[in-house]
Amino acid sequence: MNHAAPPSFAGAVQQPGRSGWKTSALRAALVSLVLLGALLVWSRLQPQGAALHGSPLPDLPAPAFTGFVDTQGGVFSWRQQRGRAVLVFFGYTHCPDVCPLTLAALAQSLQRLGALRQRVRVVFVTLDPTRDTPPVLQAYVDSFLHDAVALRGSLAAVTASARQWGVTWRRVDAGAGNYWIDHTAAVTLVSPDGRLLARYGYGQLTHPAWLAGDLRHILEP
Amino acid sequence: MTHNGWPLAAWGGWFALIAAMLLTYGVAAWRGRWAWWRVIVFVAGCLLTLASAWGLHNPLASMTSYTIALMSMGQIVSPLLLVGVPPAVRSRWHAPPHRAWSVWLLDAWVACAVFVILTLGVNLPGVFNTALANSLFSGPIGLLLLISGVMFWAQLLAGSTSLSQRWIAGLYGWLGSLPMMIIAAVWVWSAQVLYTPYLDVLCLWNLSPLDDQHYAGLVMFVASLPLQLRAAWLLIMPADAAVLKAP
Repeated sequence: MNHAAPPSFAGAVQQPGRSGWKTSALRAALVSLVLLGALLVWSRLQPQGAALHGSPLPDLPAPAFTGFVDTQGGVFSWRQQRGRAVLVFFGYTHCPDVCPLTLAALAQSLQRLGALRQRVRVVFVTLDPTRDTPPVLQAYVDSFLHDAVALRGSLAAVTASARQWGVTWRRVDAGAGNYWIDHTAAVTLVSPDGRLLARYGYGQLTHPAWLAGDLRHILEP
Repeated sequence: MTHNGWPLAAWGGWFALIAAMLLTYGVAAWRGRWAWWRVIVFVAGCLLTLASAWGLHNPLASMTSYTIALMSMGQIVSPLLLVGVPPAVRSRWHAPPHRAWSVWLLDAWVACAVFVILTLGVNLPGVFNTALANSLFSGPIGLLLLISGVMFWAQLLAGSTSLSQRWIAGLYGWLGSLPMMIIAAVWVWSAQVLYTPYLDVLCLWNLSPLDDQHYAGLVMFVASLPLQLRAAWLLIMPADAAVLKAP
């Protein structure tokens, strides 16, 4: 094994063939320019979803809501939603904070759309099918959005669908038979052709103009 | 796999990278009869790379967990991989046939520029499009941070460094850690949420977005400690004592 080349720091030996500072500085300037340019181009040349305020999602078909029905007993189909932007949110009616705040934020954003409002649909998927009976669900979503679709399925269906949508959740017992549900507080935007576009964390919904702008961006030709 | 996570190809890329690294390292370590503890350190670095990749695959889950994964990739995996290679072997990277790449990747100026630009570009909100930090790009960003971390840490370790004086390397390391410290301070002491794309944790962890940001800042503080400790070591320890234990 050849150990002829001594490591640097060993008596401050300058290794043979290493560059002078001017060459190094030139290289660093060149690499910096290339890196900055690449990052700039990267941040500009992104798929449609990346141009939105929401965080882009891979361009995949929106998962079907298998095993769910709406409050009228109808099956939800993405084909029926063609031509509409759809906002999907998993929550529950007993949620003390983020669910009502999120739905209120969505309502504020949609109010800004004018005529385009008719081409947006909100889908509320309950994580608590035991307490969220169809009448309870309908009354809940009606208090925020008159045309929202509320979906309800078995616990098994909820578990499978939440996994498909990247929503994590868990039941937290509060004693005396009460419980709440910790869950991902994100809204997913689905394009008018039924494909995943972007995801909005709660912090991204606090500015109603952001979501409204994104919806205009994908709905206006 | 969730839809906000990575496609299988991204996972395949990470596993292929680790497999290639282990194979190359294994052959070199076997031929050179490298110390067993270096092999353990390198394998630990590879395993931690995979663990960090897991943490990167869904950056929307939590800003704190995303920061842990990014910092682990850049500040823990990088030195582990380098220390897994003996200093005398690292020293040979500066000579042909490695010189073609080492004049760029092991140049102290280039390493510093890349490290600082990526640290600021990825972590400071508003410097680049916020879409840089999402599940579509977290894989390449993790890889970039790993590469820049290896480049920077190489300057602080005997053999791979281009810096001839220990005190210069110490100063270099300390200055290089400043951007991380500044970002960490901004995140920890900010009174408002700065980087909304990460913030999706209100219910999941019972943390408010602002709390999550504060914890992410603390993570970055902690992640910069190994770099600062190494820099302090280079500044304080006499060369004679350090040569005997060159990592």
